[in-house]
Amino acid sequence: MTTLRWFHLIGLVGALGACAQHSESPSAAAPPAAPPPSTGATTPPAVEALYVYFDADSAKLNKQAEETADHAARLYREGNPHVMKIVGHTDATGDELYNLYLSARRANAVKAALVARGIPAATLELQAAGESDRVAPEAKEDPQDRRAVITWR
Amino acid sequence: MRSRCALVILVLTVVAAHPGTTPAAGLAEPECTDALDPQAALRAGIAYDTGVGAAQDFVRAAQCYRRAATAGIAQAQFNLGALYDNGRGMPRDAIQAAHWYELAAAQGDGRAAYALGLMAETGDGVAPDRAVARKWYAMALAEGIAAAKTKVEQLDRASGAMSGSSSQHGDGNGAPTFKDAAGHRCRLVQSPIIVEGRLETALATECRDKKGRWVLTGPSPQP
Repeated sequence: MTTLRWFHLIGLVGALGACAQHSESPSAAAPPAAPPPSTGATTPPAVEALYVYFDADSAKLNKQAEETADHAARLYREGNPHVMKIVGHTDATGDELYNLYLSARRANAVKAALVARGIPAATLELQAAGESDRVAPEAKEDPQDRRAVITWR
Repeated sequence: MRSRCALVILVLTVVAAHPGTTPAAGLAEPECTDALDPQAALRAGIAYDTGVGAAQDFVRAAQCYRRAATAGIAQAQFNLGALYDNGRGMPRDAIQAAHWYELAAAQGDGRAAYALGLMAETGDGVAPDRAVARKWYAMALAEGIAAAKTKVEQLDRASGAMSGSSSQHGDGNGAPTFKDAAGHRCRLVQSPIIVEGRLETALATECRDKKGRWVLTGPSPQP
């Protein structure tokens, strides 16, 4: 039942995303999927996010990235039933398919780092976004695009 | 297109908001007083903390975790420590965080031991002490936290490098040394100690024995 309910929540977020994508005019923008923290009975819990940055063409966690993983491990409460999502990204230099794999390797590296810190692997969900979701789409080589984003509730 | 999306969202919102048989279901807004069963308090704490089965409320989560934590449940001790550590439902309080992490670690919670290692390494909420950090990391590693291996190795390397370059302190711990009444070289260290079955960290005196090894000799001298 909990799983089923989760499915609905994920569906809700997905539906919001879909609406945002299909909206053509700015006025038709869907409301943000993550409302501010509130104690209202029907609002979903606040989404927390951490950003792990990588060196160019690398899926290895550098010192700063390891520290971000340490931070994430300290934020994650035991018994949390939520799925933690890790999405890997790349910049737009080089081959698109290669970048898709690179983003997958980045997501995987973050997963490995979190599991090594005691976060149960079953609560982690991976996504590879390749170069499809860049911070500034007009920039091909933005260091901010070499990232993996961890989100959870 | 927009109206259909709105309808889908409405339907999904209603379905998602419908109370399911989550762990805290049936606990209608429980007040986590001392009368509540500790395990139930832990479940309620997780529900408030994560917003599954109850509206997210970190203040209530902390209240429920505290009920379970004072009853000795390690998970609740870790989670309460994490709320203090991250300032959820309260201002960040590293000292309180370290306190609850220590109670959880004393029960074999590897994640708590790892967090304490990080705190001891940087002097966050506890006195900065690499030797203590190493002890926590070693404990975390023994409890299955694989990331602690790198930390232990890093500290060992740093300590080895320092003992090579510094002859003043002998082993690179960095703590100033003094001579005790018998003329032994001694220093003060933060050491994990067991007090009435609970793991605490206290200032202790360590002196070199005849073979030059550091040996804990007792509590710190009172000023």
